[in-house]
Amino acid sequence: MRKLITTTLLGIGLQLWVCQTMAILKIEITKGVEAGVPIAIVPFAWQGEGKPSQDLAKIIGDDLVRSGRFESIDKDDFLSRPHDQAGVKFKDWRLIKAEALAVGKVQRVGSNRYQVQFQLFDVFKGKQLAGYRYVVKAKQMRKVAHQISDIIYEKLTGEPGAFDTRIAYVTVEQSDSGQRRFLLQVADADGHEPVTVLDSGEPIMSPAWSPDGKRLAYVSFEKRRSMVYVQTLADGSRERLADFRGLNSAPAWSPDGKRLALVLSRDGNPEIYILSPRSRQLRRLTHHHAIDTEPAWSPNGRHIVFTSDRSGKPQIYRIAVSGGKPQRITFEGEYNARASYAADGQSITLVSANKGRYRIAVLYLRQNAMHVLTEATLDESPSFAPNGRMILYATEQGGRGVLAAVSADGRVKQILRFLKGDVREPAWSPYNRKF
Amino acid sequence: MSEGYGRAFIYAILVHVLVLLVLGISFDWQLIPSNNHQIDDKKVVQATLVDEGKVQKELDRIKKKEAARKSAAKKEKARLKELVRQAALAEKKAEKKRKAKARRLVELKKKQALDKKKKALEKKRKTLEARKPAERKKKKLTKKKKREQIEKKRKAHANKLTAQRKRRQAEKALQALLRKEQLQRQAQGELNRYEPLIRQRVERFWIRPPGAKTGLKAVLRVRLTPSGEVLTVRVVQSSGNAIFDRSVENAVKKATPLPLPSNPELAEFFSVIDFEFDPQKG
Repeated sequence: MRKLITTTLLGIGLQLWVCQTMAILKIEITKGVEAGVPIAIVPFAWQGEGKPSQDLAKIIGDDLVRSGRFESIDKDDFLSRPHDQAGVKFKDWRLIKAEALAVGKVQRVGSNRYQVQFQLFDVFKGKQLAGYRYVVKAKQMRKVAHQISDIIYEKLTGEPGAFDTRIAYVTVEQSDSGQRRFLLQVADADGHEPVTVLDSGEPIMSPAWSPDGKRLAYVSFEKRRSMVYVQTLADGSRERLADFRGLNSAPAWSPDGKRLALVLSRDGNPEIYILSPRSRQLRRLTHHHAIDTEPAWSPNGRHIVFTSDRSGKPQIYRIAVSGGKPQRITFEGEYNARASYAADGQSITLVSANKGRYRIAVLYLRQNAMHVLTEATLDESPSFAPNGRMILYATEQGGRGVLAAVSADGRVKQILRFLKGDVREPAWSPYNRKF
Repeated sequence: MSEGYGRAFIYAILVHVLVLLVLGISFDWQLIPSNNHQIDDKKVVQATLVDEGKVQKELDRIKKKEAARKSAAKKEKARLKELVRQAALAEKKAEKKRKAKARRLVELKKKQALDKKKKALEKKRKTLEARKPAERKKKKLTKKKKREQIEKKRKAHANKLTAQRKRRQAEKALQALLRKEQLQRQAQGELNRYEPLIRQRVERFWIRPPGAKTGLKAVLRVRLTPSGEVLTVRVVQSSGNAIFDRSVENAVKKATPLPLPSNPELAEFFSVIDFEFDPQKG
């Protein structure tokens, strides 16, 4: 009996000891990979005569991949090709490690009327995240695809997408006779569907979007000297905003769209001015004998960053819109220029040069840390996408200017190859109005 | 005895009566004619001797005498007859009485015997009856005793068995615990070996959302099969950010199967793992 009790007690003791040491295993994960979320986008089914005008799945996949936040799984790896929820077997997609699945179909519902249906699924949870249906004309197909990209992006990243937006840029065409033409063009954010806004024999520079996305301000040399114009995209109407003596350049809209910052040399030296178009009121902001140029508004409208070589070489300075003493904010690199804010005001993108190599960089203002994103030698004119996750810029390839996009973390870069000619001075639009 | 005497007596009376009867009848039958004949002869003789009147008188007197004698005889006969009848009746009555008496006696005897028997039976019954509860009690007691004994035995046996079983169980448990402890020690070694393997595999599949360094942290409780397949993933501490939570859940789900020791007993120590995703520490 005593033996029994001893054994039992010993047993209980051991049990307790083992229980204590049997605490649930805990593993700490502090590192992950900087990669895109793998998504499977099944080619949309086409229900109608002939062939679809656009491959929606491809447009969406390209959009998402370009953002750097996604990896589009090769459709050859798909084990099935569903077009709606009924055909989705989540097991098929878990096997190929897709985290998200997009399926859809296009149906002709009238003359030049198409119904586009799409659904987005969380593969590992096995549930629908989004489902939409649109009825559109054939020429709106790409826009629908970009809007679907935006929905997918937002559902999976928690941030708004910026695919259904546009870019403005200047294309230089050289005819056989050697004559150069300058085209101010607007295209979808992926570079497709370009539309010429202004065609000029003289240089066009510095296109800038109004905050409502309806107008463009730009510098045109059509009168043989620089002047700032504002053009309404819908009807092509335009007005000359600044034709002061000397240099008129680098227009930038205030976030409320009521004022523009621009560079004038009417007082002898390029300085930053603020112009209220309606009241024709003009106010000089900077006073320095060095060159002050390329102003850009902070999203809250209180500050303006600009490039100045007052320290000897171009650097970025910040000044209150109400005036005051500018503060230098870039100290890394021998040359920093062409700054512009991200929509959240936390960072600015700029061109940073070291040893003659001009690259796109992001300066995180709070941390005062500069991240260089590109590796080419002649990158210029960066501008943030309205969601702050991508940067559009110009670079040089094969002796001509091309546009490229880089994810804000620098991981994914893509050149927008379909654009013809020598392209430069891109500017990303604000968010578009939806249908 | 008296029966036999009674019957003999009755027979004696009967024989007397019969003799009397036979005598009476024959007497009467012989007597009368012979008498008549004798008388006739005498008369005839006497008639010749006596004068008519005297004869007549004599005759009348004789006739009267004869008639008186006849009636007396008749009377006697009737009286005898009556006597016999009465005797027979009395005899019959006596007989009847005797018989009844005898019957009664017999019946009485019978009844007495029956009563006796009954009484004896009753007595037996009563004694039996009287004995019964006690007996029953006794029987019950013995039965109970027996049962108790059996029960006791059974209990003792059962106790013995339980004790044995308990001891065996305790021994077994102890052995299991010792084995567990041994496994635990082994597992600790395996843990040191496998923990980095598991961590690296999950890290390889965790697509960390940009900006995740800004204070987001989540804990997942993951259940695994002995072969490392992810069975369930539960968010036990949410980061508060749906995208971050999804990214870590997907990381574990995509990392399936996780590398575990091939010994299933050791793999059991890995059946539940808490993953803490904390990019700040990285």
